[in-house]
Parts: sequence; C-alpha cells; structure tokens
Amino acid sequence: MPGPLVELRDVEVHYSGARVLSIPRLELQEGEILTVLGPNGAGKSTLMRILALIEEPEYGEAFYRGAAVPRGPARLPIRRRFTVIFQEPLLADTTVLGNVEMGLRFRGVPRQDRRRRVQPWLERLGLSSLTRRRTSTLSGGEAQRTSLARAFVLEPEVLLLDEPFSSLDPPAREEMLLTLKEILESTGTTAVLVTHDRDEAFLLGDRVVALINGRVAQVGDPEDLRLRPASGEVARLVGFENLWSATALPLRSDVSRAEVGGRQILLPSIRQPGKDLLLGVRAEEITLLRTDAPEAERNENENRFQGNVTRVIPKGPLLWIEVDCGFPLVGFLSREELRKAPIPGERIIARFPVSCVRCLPPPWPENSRRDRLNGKQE
Amino acid sequence: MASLLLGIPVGMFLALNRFPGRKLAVTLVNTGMGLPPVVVGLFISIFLWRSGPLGSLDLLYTPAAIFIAQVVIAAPIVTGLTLAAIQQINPRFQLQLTALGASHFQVLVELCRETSLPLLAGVMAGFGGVISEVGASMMVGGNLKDSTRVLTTATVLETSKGNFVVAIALSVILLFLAFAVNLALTLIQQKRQRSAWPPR
Repeated sequence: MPGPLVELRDVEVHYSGARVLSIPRLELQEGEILTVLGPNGAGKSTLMRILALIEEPEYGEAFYRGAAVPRGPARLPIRRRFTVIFQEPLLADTTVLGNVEMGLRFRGVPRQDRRRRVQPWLERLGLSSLTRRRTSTLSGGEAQRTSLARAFVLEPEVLLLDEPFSSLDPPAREEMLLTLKEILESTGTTAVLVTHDRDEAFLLGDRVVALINGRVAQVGDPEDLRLRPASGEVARLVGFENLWSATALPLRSDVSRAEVGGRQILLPSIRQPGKDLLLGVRAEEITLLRTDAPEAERNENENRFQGNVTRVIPKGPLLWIEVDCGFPLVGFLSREELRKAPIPGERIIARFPVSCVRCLPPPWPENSRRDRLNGKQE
Repeated sequence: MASLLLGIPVGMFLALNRFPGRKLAVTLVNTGMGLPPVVVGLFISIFLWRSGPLGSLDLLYTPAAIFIAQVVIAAPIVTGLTLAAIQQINPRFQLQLTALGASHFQVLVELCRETSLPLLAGVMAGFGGVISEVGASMMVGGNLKDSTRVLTTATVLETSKGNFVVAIALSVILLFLAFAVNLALTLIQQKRQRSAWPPR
C-alpha cells in the first residue's frame, strides 16, 4: 500500500497560552475525501490551514509523500499543489475572469494558456456569461462558484474546503454540494472538507475525523461514527438524540441493568454495579406506539417505556417526538405511521432493542442536552 | 517619491504583522500624520546643526535637508493611509491569496492592487502635505537663493517684501503644479475604478 499523501505528526498549536490543536498523527490518503467534523472552536480551521501548508505548526511536522515539508519560502513549490476554498468566496475586486485565472498568474502561466485552461471550468460552473462581470456585482451563489472555479482551474492535488457553503441559502447550498461531489469524483481529487454540519460530513466523506477541543476524538468511515461513536462526546457530535446519564445496577437473572430517572433500562453488556454510565440511543431506533395499538408480544430483548408526549416538532417527512418517561426520550414517527399526529400530554409507548443501547465511554460532553434535560427533573 | 518608497512598505508591514510595540508604532504614525511642519523643521535643524548629532554631514541649509524634512512630513501620512487601507481588507483575503499559491511578494503586490484606490488617496495626501509646506523648508533650507529657495518659501519672501505680483505669480505656478499632479493621479484612480480588469 502506498504511503499517505499528506501526514501530520505530533502537531501542536497554541494561541495565547491555550492549546488549540494537538494531533499526534493524521493521515490523508491519495484520492480520498476526508471530512473534519467538529463543533465551533474545535480547531478545525487551524487544522485545515496546517494541512493546506499555509500555516506552519508551532510543534511537529507535515509530511508530503513521505518527505517532511520544508519551512519558509522553500515550501512554495509543494504548497502550489494545494489550494483552499474558504467559507466566504474572498474574491479580488476585479472581474470573474481575473479571479479565476489568478492562481495561474501566480504560477507564471502565460496569458494564452491561462485563457485556454480557464474556459472549461467557467463553462462547467455556469460562469461563461459572467466572465467580464466585476465580482462586486455577483450574487452569493455566483461568487462561490467563481471561488470554486478559481480553485479547480489549478487542478490541485489536494483541495481543502473550510465550511465552503455555510454562507449560502439551503437550495444554493444543496446544489453546490452536489456540484462539488460530482467534480471531486470525476477528477479524483484528494480533498479535505472541514464542517460543523454532520450531514455534509457524512454525505461527502470517505472518512470522517471527529475533532473535539483540538483533539482527534475518532476517525472512521461515516457509518462507524454515526452508529458506533467512540465516546459520549463523539455521540453528541454525530447527533445522538438520546444521551442519558445512568447508574449501573446489580445483575438480575444475568441481565445487566441501569437506572435512569427512576426507571430501569436493560443493557446489552455487563457493567459494574454503582458505576456512572452514559447511555446513547438513536431516535431512529426507537419505535413509538399508541397505547391502543395491538399489543405485540413482550420481548425480553427490548426496552419498553410508557410516557407522556411533551413536544411534537415536524422535521421534513418525520415528526420529532419528545416523550417524558421519567427521563426524556426522543423518537421519530413518519407522518403516515399514525393517522393523526400525537398531541402533547398523550400517553405513548416507546420500544427499542437492548442491542441499540450503547454504553458510551468518556470523555462525555459537558453541558450537553443530557445535563440540561436531566437537570430539569432533579 | 521617497516618502512613498518608505511609507507604503512600512504601512504594509504595520498592517500585516503583529509584534510587541506595534500599537505604539501605529500611534506614532498617526501622530506623525498631524505633525506640524515647523516642529519637524526645528528638530531636523537641531539634528543637522554643526554641533548636532549629524552636524558633521554639513547638510543644514542644503536641498538635501529640505528633502529629509519633506520625507519626515509625508512618510507618516502615506504610512498611516496605507495602514488604514490594508487593514480594511478582510484578513482572510491574504490567506486566500497564499492558498492560491501566491508567494509572499505576490501577496503584497495583490494587496496593493486591491487597495489601489485608497493608496492613491494616500499619495495625493502626501503630495499635498509636501507641496504646501513652508515652515520646515524655511528652517532647514534657509531659503537661500538658487539653492534652497523653493516655491513656497519664495512666495513668503516676496510677500513680505511687498512684491505681490511675483508672489501671486509663484502661487499660481504652485497651484498649477498641485492641480497637474492631482489631476494625473485622479485620472489613474478613476480609470481603474471604471475599467474592467484585465483591460481589453
């Protein structure tokens, strides 16, 4: 197997005394799309600037194809194989054409060649009619497409994207995401996408890095992170709707249980009694039933609670249902599933298989929904 | 001219770098923008006096002394306006230029391009300061005939002698010079604003 295209080793960055980034090792393989998912202030942008070779880390080193990247002006030739698309388009105050050919100009490409290379990208991104327009007159979407063309014209070996679409409205954003995905796939460009949007991260990433407080909390394929988070923090980051603080109880007939808000949850594996736990269950794994629904046979391998509906929030084709079972629980219902949407106060049954309950190792998120909601009833 | 060569790089340096003492430097520049020419003249005279620290150079009452005084007056104006112009650019723009493969020098050129309008304003202001200045030139130049008598100092002299006709003539020449230079600069400024780039 060939070595990684880019590798960071023992990278650390401090800003005014505080450590903002600490990456013992991170690899970027040729041809892959790596997404970096993290909350605001996790050090995502710093990591991206270091991977893009536009910022030199305080400690540690970046490697390109196995060789350490030199510091200072000597890194320019390697740096020019990389480019970055930022959150805002950051266009120079000239025409669309002037911007798109800017990177080629920096590389000393003669004017005629520039025109020839720019043309296909202007067409592909629908900018052909705008070439002479000044950038100050462009719409947000047009500006971001210009920024995209400006990067792709360089045919970079590595393209880095720093939350590139977060300033666009949802339709434009969706369209840009798909355009980007298609271009990346057709050109086989290695890419790093930095985002706080998990849908974006999971849609585009071959591999996802969960970055929390400047540390890599988990690296894996999207399904791994989505369904098997390595810790409570990652679970919160990837959107576990149900995170419950619990205490392990003594075994009863060989089944491990934990106490949550006065109720007992069956656990898939044995835990030491008295231990504090953080349990996670995805809302999609919870089945919600009306109390008058035909009673399914009681299953030993499932958890089952009755509670009162506290809130119903429409989310696309689904209804997000919050239930108070002694502890707060969230489940989804499709609009068709019940003839009538449940109303707050209504009794409802929640069922979920024991195997869906994950005991999440620390570190646990601070100040998470778990704390807010559990705090409410204490 | 010399104040441009000094002021623009210093302004860019101050705008783009963070270092201890930067705030003090910026404050000094801003003070310098409002520096009374007479004060500059006095200090440069003191420095250039025979018994002063630079007295051995024999520069007092020579055109070189006027040149030094003019640089000291105009450089802070150009520096300050460059600083303001560069600082109003989004700092991430610089990062974007780097990310597009610009070398350090190319980044600086591109930033100047981006701020060419405010930079030209700085040039005009610097020129205005220099051409209208009389106190410093008088003090360090000495207003010697055929050597350090410049248009402004000559005007003052002729007026005080009562030669209003000559004084007015000199003023008109001065005005015309100021007008011509500023016209040229304004034309450049406005043309850049209107024309699409690259031109064709």
